[in-house]
Amino acid sequence: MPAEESDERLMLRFQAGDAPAFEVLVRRHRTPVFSFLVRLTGDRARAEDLCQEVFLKVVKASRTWEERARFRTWVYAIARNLAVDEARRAAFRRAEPLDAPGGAAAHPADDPPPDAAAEAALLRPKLEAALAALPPEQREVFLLREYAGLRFAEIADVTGTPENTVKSRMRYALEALREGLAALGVGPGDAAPASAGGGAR
Amino acid sequence: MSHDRFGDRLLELAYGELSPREAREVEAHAESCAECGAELGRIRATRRVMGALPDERAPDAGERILLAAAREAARDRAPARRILPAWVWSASVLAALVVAVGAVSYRILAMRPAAERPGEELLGRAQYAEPPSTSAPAPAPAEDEAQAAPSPSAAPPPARAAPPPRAAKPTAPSPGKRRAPAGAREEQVRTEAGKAEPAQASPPAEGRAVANEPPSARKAPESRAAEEDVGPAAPEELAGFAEPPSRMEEAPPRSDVATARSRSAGAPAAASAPAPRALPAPASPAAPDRSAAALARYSALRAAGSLSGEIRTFTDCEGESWRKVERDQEGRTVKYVREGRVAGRRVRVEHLFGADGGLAAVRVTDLDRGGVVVPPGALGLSVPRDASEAGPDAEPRCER
Repeated sequence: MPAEESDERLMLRFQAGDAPAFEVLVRRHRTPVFSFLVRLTGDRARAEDLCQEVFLKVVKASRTWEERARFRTWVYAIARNLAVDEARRAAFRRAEPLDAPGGAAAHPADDPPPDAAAEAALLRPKLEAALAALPPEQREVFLLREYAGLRFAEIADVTGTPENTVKSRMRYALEALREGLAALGVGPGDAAPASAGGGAR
Repeated sequence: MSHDRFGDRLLELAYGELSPREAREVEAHAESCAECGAELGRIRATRRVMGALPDERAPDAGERILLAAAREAARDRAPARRILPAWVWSASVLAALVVAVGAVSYRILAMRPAAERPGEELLGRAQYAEPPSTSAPAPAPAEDEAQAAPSPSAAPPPARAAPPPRAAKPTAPSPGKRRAPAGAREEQVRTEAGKAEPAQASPPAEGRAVANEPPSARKAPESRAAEEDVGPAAPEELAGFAEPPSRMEEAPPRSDVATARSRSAGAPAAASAPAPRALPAPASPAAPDRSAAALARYSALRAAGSLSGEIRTFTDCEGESWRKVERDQEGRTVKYVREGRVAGRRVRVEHLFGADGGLAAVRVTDLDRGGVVVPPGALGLSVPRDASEAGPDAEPRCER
């Protein structure tokens, strides 16, 4: 068996009744999708529920699934739409639909970092904070491109936005992040300790 | 090319969306144009920093449910889909042959030991998709006893006798888990093929032989599988199952259940408390027996392969994001599990119904706190009082 079978191939196998193929898909995508949802909604608990819903939807829809788009794009489209619907409903209950995670503000910015690992640990909340500070529509595009690995054209499909708009949102997002990070004392060199893990994307 | 347009190209370059040729061109331009070079540098630097952000790990708890749902779905479509597409080109004779092969392989699939299909127990369908109608006398009496229990007070002891083996079982969990499905498997073989018992059928056969004695003897391994079903928090299958909230005041769940268990463990026949049917009487001694009886009934039906499970998911419902309903052959709900968010906590609520259809036991697990069992009354849950309110199509319970 090939080491890395494509998502689409796995999906076709699952469609044909091969449950372990779905297991591979879940192991591959559940954490990234969850991650996306946590950062999009700023609410872990909601992200957990939504993430379950996403994959249950995948199971349900798998019977009629056709390989028209990448599996990945399809899954993120489901995730994104569920989150947006949920936020709309939540708007009746909460003031802020896509609110920023509250914990991010608690970063000890002035403590001198003792070593690289600790520095990376200190860096993380700052990155989260910068991300959370983005306007929702920019954050969405950035998450889908940077972490989910969707192409700009795919993001345009998922969000129902013209591709040009997607790209300009992305540029605004990158610019805002750069400024936000600078304001938090994070410069271009600060990624070094942790970039080994994140660079693979 | 306008500068704005070039911005997009830089973006595409930084994200690897250009063809090699285009990438070379844009890269060359960025080298000669200071402004574009700086812009590209900024994009790449921001990417580098933000790329250091690790994924948020998805909680493990959800995975089991997803895989179980996937197996359920896969099983439904495996027989037809797996084989037919490869043969669609063939003559109709071949096609007919293929259908036959499909039927056989479906049987083979269904007979796979549950060990190969971890988590399937969750659905309550795996082992007992095919009710053994003719053979397997053991389970039927067990159910009858449970149902006949109302009138004669002599009936309760056998029906309630299930707990003893459970109390004794923690000794060797894993072999038992494997054995249980094997038994179910053989029953299927016999029912359907009507052929002699397979050579290695001795343990289950032996189990059936004792069937006239307390059905529990045979059920012991099965109840272990049920235990797995019930989730990570349950070292004892019965642990945490309590009477429905209204009766809770008189009978604190855990201690009473424990007493009931040890009592009946000592001497099944001496389970002297009132008949399980005595439940309408609010008197506390009856309560734990009723939940024990409901659990025994569930285990028996499960062991007999007479339950079929169904999972429903609800998208707009906080209190119930999904439910699993297991029903007996008459379509009456025996066990109903739901998961959702109630009072801000993610909970799993398990309900067991008695033979009379009344709610006999409830267990509420707080999934946010690592599966701690909480008293059903604590969260103000709405619980169905009767099996008829707990079918797959019943209204979702969307309280918050």
